[in-house]
Amino acid sequence: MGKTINVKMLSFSYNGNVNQLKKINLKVNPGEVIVLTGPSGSGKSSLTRVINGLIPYFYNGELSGEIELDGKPISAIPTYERGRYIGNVFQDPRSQFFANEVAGEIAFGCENYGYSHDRICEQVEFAAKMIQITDIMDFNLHALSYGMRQKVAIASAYAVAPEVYVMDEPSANLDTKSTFIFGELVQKLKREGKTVMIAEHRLHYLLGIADRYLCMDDGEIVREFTDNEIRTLSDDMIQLLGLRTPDLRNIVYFAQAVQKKKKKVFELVDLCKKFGKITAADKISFSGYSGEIIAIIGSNGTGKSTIGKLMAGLIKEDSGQILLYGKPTKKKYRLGQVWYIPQDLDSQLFGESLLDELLTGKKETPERKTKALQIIQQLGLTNVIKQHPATLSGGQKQRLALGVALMYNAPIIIMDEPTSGLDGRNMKKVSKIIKELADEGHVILVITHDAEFALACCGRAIQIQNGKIVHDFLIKDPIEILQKMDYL
Amino acid sequence: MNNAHIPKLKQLDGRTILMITIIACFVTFLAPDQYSHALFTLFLLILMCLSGYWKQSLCFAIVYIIIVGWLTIGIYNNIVFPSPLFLALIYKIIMPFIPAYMLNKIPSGQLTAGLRKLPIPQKILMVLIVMLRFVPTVSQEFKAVRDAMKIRGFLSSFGNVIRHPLGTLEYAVVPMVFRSLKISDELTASAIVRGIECPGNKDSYYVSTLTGIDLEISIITVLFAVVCIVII
Repeated sequence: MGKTINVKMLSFSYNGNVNQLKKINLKVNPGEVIVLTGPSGSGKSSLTRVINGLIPYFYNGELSGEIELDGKPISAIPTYERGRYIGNVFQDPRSQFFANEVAGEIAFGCENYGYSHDRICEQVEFAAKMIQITDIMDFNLHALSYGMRQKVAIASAYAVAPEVYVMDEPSANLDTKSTFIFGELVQKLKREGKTVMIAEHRLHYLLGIADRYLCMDDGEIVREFTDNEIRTLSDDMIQLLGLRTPDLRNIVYFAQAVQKKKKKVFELVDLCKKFGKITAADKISFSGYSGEIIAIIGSNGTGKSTIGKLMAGLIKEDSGQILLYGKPTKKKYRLGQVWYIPQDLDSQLFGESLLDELLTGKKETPERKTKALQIIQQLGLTNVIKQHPATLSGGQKQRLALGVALMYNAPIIIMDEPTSGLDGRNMKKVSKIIKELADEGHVILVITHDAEFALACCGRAIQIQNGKIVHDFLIKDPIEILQKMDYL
Repeated sequence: MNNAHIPKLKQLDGRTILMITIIACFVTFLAPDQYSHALFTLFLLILMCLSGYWKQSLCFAIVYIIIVGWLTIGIYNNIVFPSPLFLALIYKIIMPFIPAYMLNKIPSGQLTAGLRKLPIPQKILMVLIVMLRFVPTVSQEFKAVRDAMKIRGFLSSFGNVIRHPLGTLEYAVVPMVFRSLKISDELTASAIVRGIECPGNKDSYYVSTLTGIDLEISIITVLFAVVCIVII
């Protein structure tokens, strides 16, 4: 049976900073699934880290209060021993794995705890069966989709047979189908009586599974909702708490003003690209007009990013054409004209401050400097202008990346999963800025799994399946796009 | 398990190949002249062929010959571009790269299993494991950085890169450092909560045993290294 977690008067601050957690009191019963939600920086992750022992052992700071596991103070258990009782799943599938191949990864925890070779094999097999991944045991982890990798992460925790699971934004990198499959696994753990604690922005896949939803803000638990209450939360309350809409069918939807077809900016004609035997783009043809915001939707690995990279001139097409303003273009010409912003922004930021980020690479002239300052103001980043770009929050980094595209006057901007890991407030900020840029005449393509975001700013959607366009439609009805994005 | 179709040397234990790599590092810097250096390189290339890496072995051989040739011509004719120092560096590094390549091909779990049986302190072992894990990640991340540099036009022309090599390098290094810091932080956290620091003896999922062939190859390598450094 799962264990009781009892958090008593818990406070924590990273060295020299304001309190991340303020006198938290919380009791989680055995077999309960609870969700911690709330805006970025509200303390969700910190709370999970205190439970798994990373705070204060790895992330130093001042900690007071106590957590009890089945009545015993958790601080008495050394951090390296906690993995026996508490299994962990993290956000980024690229940075939580140690082995190159699935079986070795699942075995990692068992190996660390000194199980015998036979017992390790037994546990690995047992976990793989439960998570239903026995068919991929010798696969290379890097070749798996993010959804599959999160399954491996659960299997790896499960192999040690802990009674408590702690997860930190496990769905941030998953597509819709994988998210629901992940939800089913949480359900399975619940049925086995495990205690599960999930810090998460996206709530829709946990409806009907989680018992309680705790909203955090500024280091405190400010609200608590039951499953029923969270489903029917009013839009005002969602805004106030900075949440993602829990039940997507309730999204308050304002139809985007239908753009009169203005100037045609780009046209793709029968674009094809193969990687070995895999066809990533199969006769892709569509056009974009100035002022349009187009959502590119479809599951992971269907070729969405490939289209973006082809357009941006990062990879070369096998056949077909890309026309900009009616003229056929070569790969090299498109670099800088079509601006591709990838999902992971750390590899994008080269400067020492925001201003440096926008000015770097070309000669600094007074005109460019004035322009950069204007852009920073437009993006609402003036208050952090002196900071190093790497220290910005996820939403701020997205806005800065857009700023760089503006600096280069790119008429076409492609954003790959701009809202993964963003809370409701930041998602809305990003979508507002995208709309402003479209009004200025840019064409913006967003590759996304995020239906709420697509509904907040996109006027048109293109659905990709196995490298082909299967639907190209104007977004008029939220239900339609939810269906196309596999939510319903 | 049926291993009949696998070349016998491919079943070499990770520890043996690690030892060969370390020996190669010594030989490359201690070899008294280019002949003994070439001899040991040849020995490693043959090992590589026998392990089933025919093509890779050929590639290494070709690069080695080109570098040696270029270096010789360059020195006799006082050619300063590309810098002989640079060529000499590659010449010295190529040799240990041969066994390092084979090391890289071993599933990391198997290698870790082998390392765990060595009498090295836990802390050093952890550093080794993390480093081994880090290599593929860094190469992935580097691709992302290169794409970003292309978009910004930092790599727009060959001339541009040649004229400002340091600037270009800085653009590549800064995001790599930040990304690597973040990943190493998250990796370490993930390892800690999964008990990597748990003391005591550890067994592995993969069976890692030293066999006769490991012993034979180890002895041959050591003897050969001694011959190359001291006798010739």
